[in-house]
Amino acid sequence: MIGFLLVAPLIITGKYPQHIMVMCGIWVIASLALNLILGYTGQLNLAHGTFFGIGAYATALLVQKIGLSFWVALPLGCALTAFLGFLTGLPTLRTKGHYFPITTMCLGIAIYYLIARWDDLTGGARGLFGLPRPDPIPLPFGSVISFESTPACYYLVLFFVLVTILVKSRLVKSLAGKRLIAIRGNEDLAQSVGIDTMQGKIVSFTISTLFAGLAGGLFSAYMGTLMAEQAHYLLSFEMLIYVMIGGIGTMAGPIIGGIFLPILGEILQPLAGFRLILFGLLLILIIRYLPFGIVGGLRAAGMHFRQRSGAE
Amino acid sequence: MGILLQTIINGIMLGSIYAMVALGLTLIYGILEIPNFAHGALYMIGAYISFLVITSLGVPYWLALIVSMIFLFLLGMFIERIVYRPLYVQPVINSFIAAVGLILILENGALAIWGPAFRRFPRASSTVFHALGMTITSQRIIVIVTAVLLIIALNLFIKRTRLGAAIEATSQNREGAQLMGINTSLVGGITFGLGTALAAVAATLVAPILLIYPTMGGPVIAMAFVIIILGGMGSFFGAVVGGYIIGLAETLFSSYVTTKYVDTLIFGILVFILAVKPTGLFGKSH
Repeated sequence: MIGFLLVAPLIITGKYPQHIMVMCGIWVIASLALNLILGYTGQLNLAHGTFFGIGAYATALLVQKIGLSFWVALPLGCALTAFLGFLTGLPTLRTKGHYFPITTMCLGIAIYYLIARWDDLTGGARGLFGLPRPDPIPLPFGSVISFESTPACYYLVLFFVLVTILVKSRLVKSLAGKRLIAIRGNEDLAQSVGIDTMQGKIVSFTISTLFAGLAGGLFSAYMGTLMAEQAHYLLSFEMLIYVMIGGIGTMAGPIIGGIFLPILGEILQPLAGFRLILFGLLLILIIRYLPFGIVGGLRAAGMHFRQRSGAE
Repeated sequence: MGILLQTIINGIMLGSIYAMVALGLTLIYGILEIPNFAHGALYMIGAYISFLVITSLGVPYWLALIVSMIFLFLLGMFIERIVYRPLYVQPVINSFIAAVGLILILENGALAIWGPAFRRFPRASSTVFHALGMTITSQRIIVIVTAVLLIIALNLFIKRTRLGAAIEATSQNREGAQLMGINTSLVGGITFGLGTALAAVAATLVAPILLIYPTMGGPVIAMAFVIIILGGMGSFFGAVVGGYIIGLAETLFSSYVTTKYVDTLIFGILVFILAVKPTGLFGKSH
C-alpha cells in the first residue's frame, strides 16, 4: 500500500489525475484533522473549513506580503491558525450540546465575511494571485528538489499526510486520546471521573485547527491562487461529508473519505449542481443507515462474518 | 431626521422578517429540541415556490403567498417525518449532519432549477409613500403589518386553541403530554410544518424588496440562530423581541457606521454572550 503511494505518480501519469492526487492528499489532511475534534472528541466544528481558509491565507500572505520562504511561512501559518483556533475555542467550547455547532457555524460565517471584505489584507472578493510554489530544497550534491512539477508537490503533500497520520495515531492511542473518547461518550460522565473536559476539548480543537491550517497552507502553495471561497462554510460541509462517509471516529475513515469522495466529485463534475444534491442525499442516508460510514460498515460486516464462523 | 426615521422603519421591517424566521425556528426547537439547521434553506424554498407560482401560473401575490405557505407546511411535515424523526434516538450531532445534507439538497436543487442569478420578484403593490421626509414603498409597510398580524395570530393560536395547548404541553414536557393522551409525534410534525410555513411567509414578504437567490437562506438562518440563542431557545417572546432588536441594530449599524463588518460584529456578540452564559440570555438550561 505504502509502496503504491510512493510510486503512484510514476504509474499514473497525466496532469489531471496527478492533480487529483495532490488535492486528495490535502483533503485527507483536513479530514483527519476534522475527525480529531468530531470523531474522537464528539464536537461538530462547522468552522473547520474556515480554519482551512485561515491557514491558506496566513501562509499565502506571509509569503507574498512579507516575502518569507514557504518553509518558514508554512509552520508560521499553522501556528497562527492553531493560535486562532485556541482563542476561538476558549469561549465556544464552553457551550454544551447543540450550541457548539451553531456557534462555530456563526463564527465561520463571520470570519468568512471578514476575509471576503478585508480588501487591503486579503484581496477581498478577488482573492490572491500568483502565489509561488515552495522554494527548491538544495541537496548535498548540488542539485535541488524543485516543486514546480505536480509529482513533486504530490510527494510533499504525501509527506505531510504521513506526518498527520503519525501524529494523530499517537495522540489517539495515548491516554490523552482515551480522555477525548470519554468526552465524546458523555461529557458530564467524563467530568465526574475527573477528566478535565475543557482542557481536552481545547487541546483537541487546537490540534485539529493546526492541521486544518496545514492543509490550507499546502493548498495555497500548490494552487497558486486563493479566494474567499476557501474559507466558506460549504468547505466545512464538504469535509464533513468526507469524514462521515469514510467513517467517523476511525483512523482510516477520513483517509478513505478524503480520497474517494473528491474523486467521485470529479467524476460527477458534468452533473454540476446535481453532484452536491447527490452528496446531500448520501449524507442523509449514511447518517440514517450507516452512521459509521464505509469503515463502520466494513467493520460491522467483518464482525458479522467472524461471529458466524466462530459460532460453528 | 427623515433618514433616521427611514432607517428605523427599515430596521423594523428587517426585524419583522427576523422575528418570523426566528419564531419558526424557536417553535421547532421548543418541541423537538432540534435546532433546524435547514430552516434557512426552507425559507429560500418558500420564496422560490411563490416565485414559481407567480411567474409560471400568473397567480396573484397574496394567493401565491398562501400557496407557498401550504406547500412549505407540508414539506416541513414531510422532512420531520422522513429525515429527523428516525434520528431522535441518535446523538444530536447526527441531526445536524442530516440538516447539512438537507441544505445541500435544497440549495443545489434551487440552483439547478433556477440558476444562481439573483431574481427579481414582483411586488404586491407599488405605491410609494412620502411622509415625514421619508420615502417608503408600500411593500415595506405590508411586511411589517403582515408580520405583526401573523405573530399575534400565532400567539392567540397557541394560547387559545386546543392544538395550541397541545403544542405548548409537548414543548414543556414530552412524556407528560403523552401521558395526557396527546399524540406528540403528530404535534411535533405539525409544529415543524408551522415553523416552516412561517419561514415561507417571511421569505415571500421580503422577496420583492431583497432579490431572491439560492443561498439567501444562509445569512438569515445564522441571524435567526443568534436571535434565538440570545432570546432563549424555545422562547416565543425571546424570538420576537430578539428579532426586532437585532433587525434594528443591524440596520442602524449599517447606516451609521459601516455595512462591511456588521455580520462580524453581531456574531462576535453572540460568541461573547455564549462564552459568558452558555445557555443564552434567557434560555432554559437543559
